[in-house]
Amino acid sequence: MVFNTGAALLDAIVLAAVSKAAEGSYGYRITQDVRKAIDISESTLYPVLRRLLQEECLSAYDRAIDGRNRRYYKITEKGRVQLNLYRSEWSVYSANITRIFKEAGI
Amino acid sequence: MKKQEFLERLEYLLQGIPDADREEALAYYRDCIEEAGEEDEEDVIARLGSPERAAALIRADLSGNLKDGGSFTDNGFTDERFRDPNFEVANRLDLPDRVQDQEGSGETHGDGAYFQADPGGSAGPGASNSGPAGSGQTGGAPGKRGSGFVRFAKAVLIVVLVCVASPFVLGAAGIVAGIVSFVGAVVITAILVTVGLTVLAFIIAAALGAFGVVFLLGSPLNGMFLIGLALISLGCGVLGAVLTGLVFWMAVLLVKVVVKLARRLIGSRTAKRKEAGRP
Repeated sequence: MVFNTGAALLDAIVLAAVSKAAEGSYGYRITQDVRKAIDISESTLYPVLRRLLQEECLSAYDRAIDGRNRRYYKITEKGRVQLNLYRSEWSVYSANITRIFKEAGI
Repeated sequence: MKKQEFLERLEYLLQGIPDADREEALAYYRDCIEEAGEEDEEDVIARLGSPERAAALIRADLSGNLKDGGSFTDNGFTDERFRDPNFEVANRLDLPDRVQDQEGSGETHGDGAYFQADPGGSAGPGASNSGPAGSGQTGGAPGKRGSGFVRFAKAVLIVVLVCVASPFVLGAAGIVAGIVSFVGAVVITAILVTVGLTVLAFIIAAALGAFGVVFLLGSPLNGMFLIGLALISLGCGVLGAVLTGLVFWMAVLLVKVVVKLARRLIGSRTAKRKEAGRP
């Protein structure tokens, strides 16, 4: 892909991936989901998750799976508000870009 | 690299950060590798990049350096500020051993500029969405004007700097010129003195030789003594001549090298000008 993903868009994608399931999601699965959209590694995702936790857009809890703890990330109310904002901004933004392309007759 | 190796290296690299942060980061990385399962372990570790890069990201995050700036490109995470030569960690933030060609770095530079303009538009909750296409255009223009202004400001700064520094520069130039001319004078004097002494030595040798031969007829001892002195003087003369020749040879060599260098410099510059002029 030739387009870059800014921090805001990455936040939006991660928030969306986390909120897919009601129980939340864990690091490896979040990466798998995010990687459906953009090529990214767990290493890059870690600071993003940390920041979203600090900003209280996400909350974390541990769950015992197969005899060890798996850290789950869950979207908070604040995170949901933020995600909605991102989604509406994105739909306006992407619609405008698409319109420009259509006007160019592609 | 195996899981244990990766985690141990990461733990080693994360020394000095708070224990809680280190434990959290290590737990995250351990989880990621373990979730992948044994058959995908190699893949996920390859994707994580080097432990050095992971540690650099974690540290940059902890010190608040990831808050703003940076963008996620095809090549991974790039942050213009980490291009700073003082920040050796920079290249490791991206996947290691990836050599960026000129074109690629140019692209990321451009994208960096784009990225800086981005958060204001999308992240700001109060941003109005009236005519985003128009706002995009106005967003582009100040950028250009800004770079022009920056260039102008830089030019002014350089002029001011030159004005302020000129006394020092002139003083330094004077000192350098003085030293150069002094050294030159000393060298020339030394050469002249050597040449003069050489010539003198030859003359003395000839004179002493002549006297020696004459004296040899009257008092052989004195004559032989004078001839010996003449031979010593002749030796000194030969030594002086050899030294003079050596110095001349070196001077000629030096001049040749300087001329060659100058020619190459001028040549490459004109070649560049020709290239620039073609398109």
